Parts: sequence; structure tokens; C-alpha cells
Amino acid sequence: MLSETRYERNPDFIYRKIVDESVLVPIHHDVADMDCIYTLNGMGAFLWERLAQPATQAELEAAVLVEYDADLEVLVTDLEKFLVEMTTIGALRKG
Amino acid sequence: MMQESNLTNLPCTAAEFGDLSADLLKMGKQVRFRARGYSMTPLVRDMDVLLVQPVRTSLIRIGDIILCSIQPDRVVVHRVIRRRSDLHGFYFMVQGDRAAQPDGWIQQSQVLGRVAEVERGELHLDMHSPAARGIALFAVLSSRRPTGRGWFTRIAGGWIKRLPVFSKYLN
Repeated sequence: MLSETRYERNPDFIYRKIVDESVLVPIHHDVADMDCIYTLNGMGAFLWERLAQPATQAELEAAVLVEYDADLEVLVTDLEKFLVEMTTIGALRKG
Repeated sequence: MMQESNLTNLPCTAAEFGDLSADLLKMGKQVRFRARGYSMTPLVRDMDVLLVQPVRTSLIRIGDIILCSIQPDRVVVHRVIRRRSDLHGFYFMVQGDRAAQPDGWIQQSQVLGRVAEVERGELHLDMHSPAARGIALFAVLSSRRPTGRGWFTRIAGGWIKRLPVFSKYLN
């Protein structure tokens, strides 16, 4: 059974596209530290954009399956990893 | 899907770095990044960390170090050595401390922010401190020597570097 936890963006992470890279710049105490930024791959960027509205893991899975031809088992594993990592660095919050 | 990185590892052009910095500074955020290059040595060295703050251009003084776009694809951290204004706004002449020639006049719209602090390991230099203002004064005077930066810079610079208040930042 999937968790009903909703994930939402932390507004202190600024998202920008640079060349072919999608980057997240963390803001701490009003300082954007360019020496510690995070890059997102295509699916990571897609998920971040989808998280403009808070969403559950199930909703994110459904959104990815509509957009990408992904194997469900692999997708679930990757998505869980993504959510854990993004929550750990503070880019996402559990609502 | 996500990887920790830093801007120097990305294939980021100066224009893109400038755009990103400008966006963040316009949002009222300060920007911290690693300087690249040697045009501001010995005060700012390659890989020093700079803290740049948003600034109203009317508050920029001669001697300040600013982050600015001197060409569409060239963003630099250089010192303001002259300043003027007219009905259209403020203009600044900028030059690297080590450069023989100024970059030329830039308009206020080309200014992205002002350097507030230089970090080199454990060393932190607040650009409003007397030491930083002293170094700024010397750099500006040096840039205005009609004969360039030859003997004046060598003699006066060598003397200044020996003063304890400046030596830890310049040696």
C-alpha cells in the first residue's frame, strides 16, 4: 500500500535550467550557495515541475507513467530513492 | 535523478552564470560562489569564495568590487575605479586590480551585485572593513597613475604588503 504522505517543494530551493542541466540552488539565510547545488536529470526535473502542486508518491508515479515509457518496478524504486534524497537535502517537505 | 554538484562542474557559460546570479540577486538573495581567474590577484585569487549582495547602484562607491556583465557573454568581478551619472542613471568604469587597462564604462543595468566578503580558507575579509577600504584606495590610485602600474605599484604595493593589517590578505 502506498503512503498518503504528500510531498511539497521547499521554496528555499531555486530551480533553473542551465544549458542542458536542471539545477536546484539551495538558499540558506538568504544566501544562494553556488558551490553546493544539485543537478536533476530529465525525470528528476519532470518530477520537480510536477511538484509545483504537492503530490503523493502514487500521484507522482501516475504522472511519470503518463509521460514516460517506464517499467513500474524500476520506477517505484527510483521514485522512492528520489523522494528520500530530496527530503534528506531539504528540497522536499512532507506535508 | 538528483546529484550534488557545484557550478564549476557544470558546462555553464558566463552568460548563464550571469543570468542565474542576476535572477537570484534580483530576488534579494545573496550569491556565494568560487571566483575563477587571476585579474583581481592578490586580493581575490582563483578559487576564493565570494559573497555577492544585491545593491542599489546609487550606493556603489569608487573602490567597490562588483559582479558585472561587461559583455553579453562575459561576467567579471572587477573594481569600480570611476563613477559618473547623468539623466539615464549611473555609469561605472571597472578594472581588474591586476589588469593594465580598464574594461571601460558600464551602465547600471550591467551591474549584478557587489562583493561583500572574500573567503580563503579560514580567512574572511569583510569588504567594508578598514583593511579592505585601504586596499581599495591603493588599487584605485594605482589605476589612475598616468604611467600605468609600473614602478608605483611595485614600490607602494611592496610597502603595503608588509603592513600587518594588509599582509594576511595580500601575501
